[in-house]
Amino acid sequence: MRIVLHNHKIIWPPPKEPSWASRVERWYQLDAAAYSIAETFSILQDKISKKPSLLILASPLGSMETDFQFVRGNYSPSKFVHTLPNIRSTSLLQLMGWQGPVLCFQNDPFTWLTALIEAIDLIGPNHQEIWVIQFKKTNVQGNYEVSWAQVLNDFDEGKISQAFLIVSYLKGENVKKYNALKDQDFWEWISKSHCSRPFLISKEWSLSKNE
Amino acid sequence: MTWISAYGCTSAAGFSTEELWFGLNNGLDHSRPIDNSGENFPRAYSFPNKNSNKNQRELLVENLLCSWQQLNKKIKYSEKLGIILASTKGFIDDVVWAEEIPSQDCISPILNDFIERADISPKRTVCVSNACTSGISALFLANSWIEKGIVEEVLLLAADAVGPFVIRGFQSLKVLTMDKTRPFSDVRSGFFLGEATAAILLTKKIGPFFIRGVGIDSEGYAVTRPSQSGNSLKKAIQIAKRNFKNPLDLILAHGTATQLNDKIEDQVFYDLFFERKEFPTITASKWSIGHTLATSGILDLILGCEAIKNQKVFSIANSIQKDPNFLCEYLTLGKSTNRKVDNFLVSSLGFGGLHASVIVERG
Repeated sequence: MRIVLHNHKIIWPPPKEPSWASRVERWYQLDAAAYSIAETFSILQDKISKKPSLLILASPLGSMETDFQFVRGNYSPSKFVHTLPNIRSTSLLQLMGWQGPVLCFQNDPFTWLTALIEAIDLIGPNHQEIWVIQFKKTNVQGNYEVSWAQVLNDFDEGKISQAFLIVSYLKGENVKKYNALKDQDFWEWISKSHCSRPFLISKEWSLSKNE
Repeated sequence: MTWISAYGCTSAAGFSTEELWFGLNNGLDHSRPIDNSGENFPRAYSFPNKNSNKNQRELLVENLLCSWQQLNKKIKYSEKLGIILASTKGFIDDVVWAEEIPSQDCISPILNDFIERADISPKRTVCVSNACTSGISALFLANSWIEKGIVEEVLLLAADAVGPFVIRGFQSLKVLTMDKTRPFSDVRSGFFLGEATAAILLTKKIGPFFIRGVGIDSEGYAVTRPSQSGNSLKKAIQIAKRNFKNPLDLILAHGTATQLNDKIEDQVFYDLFFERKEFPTITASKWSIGHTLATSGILDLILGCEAIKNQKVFSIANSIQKDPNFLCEYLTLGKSTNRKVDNFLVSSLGFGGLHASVIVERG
């Protein structure tokens, strides 16, 4: 198993019409999440040529920012549909030209790790490649972050138990129950880490970071 | 192999599966239109305990506990227990009208509260928010967990409330009717909303009902409407019936009574069954309890199990005559409800081009 991480900062509202505007129905009505994910795909598409067999959306805070905008605006139907966090995948699917299973997860403050662990556990003969996509707001107004993990079944499925290993490694501890590690800890670790190049977690698993 | 060993629910019909089943079999419409007159939308709309002063979070947890308590109280859960909660908007009305965006989503705290109050210790938990297919999508995940040996049992929960936020949203989409919910009828005009919770226990041990297959599929056709071809719903059903070779006895359709959704379901059921000389009975439940969003697929799953248990189905009592343009036959008012039911299919559709389906057989 191998995990490739991609991280992108996106500005929303967009400064100009995106290159993919003509390929997404009414792109200008997308909320920050849907736009950011579509934009990230357009940046990444040459690097991630394969299509996944399962798409997992990690949605910390659900669609709360859009929810707030909906009730403080004029109750626009185009805004309301984006108050369902799975909707952010629709524009992505249009750009990908892909159809398949999508699962949208929430488990704050462990949403990202929960989604990653689900992908790690579901990878196997039925799923050779799973994408885990997280959208979140940063502390800077108008700046958002999309994290994109490709979980790949490149190696023989490891016998080592589930996600314990990856999280133990991330924390530098031998045993650490995964749900004790919050998403924030993970990102702090990844931002300070030495993983500017791909490295193996174990014989079966590797983690690399592409920016 | 995944089995359903027990279930329970709350809905506008009452605090039990029996009340829901009774209402459907006796033509009782528990749903009601939204008062369109002013700003004072109800915080609790159709839950049986709607008059309590509790906030949405407490009300949802209380109803979930009630659904769960209908399972056998003597159940000793496996040490490898997983819990999945399906919901679209959780307790959104408790937070969205406040000044500041909270620091946590409004679904997972419901699950945490439930676990604490039920005093159970799951090995694994997650919340699935896949619009109105959330329930069956969560079932897809639960089935994967059991089949892969990640857990031995899954307590699958589903809960949605209907407050000002959801009402405003569906009003903006103009899919709510002021008439009645009349699925597959020639005079259908949309649906009423409804509140509900459900709990089902899934296990790898042999139980009364067996899950033959679960399929989910998503298409990027459009945000609110499925493609006219019904291609994605068809794919979800085909995945669910991959290992199912028997004639299908019953379909519990999504049946929202909107023009387009009913039409697409009709086309898909025709292509996959009627055209192939297979004639399952088709019925739907939303006419009696409203559209219960994330819970709707799980309620239909429970009703399918009841149909097997009782060897009886319920009609779509608000629909007197089917749409003459429809190709399939529907169990509209007055048709015989005594049917042999050894298996059934649930069809579920959600915004964002989501489709989900499950096939269940007698164990």
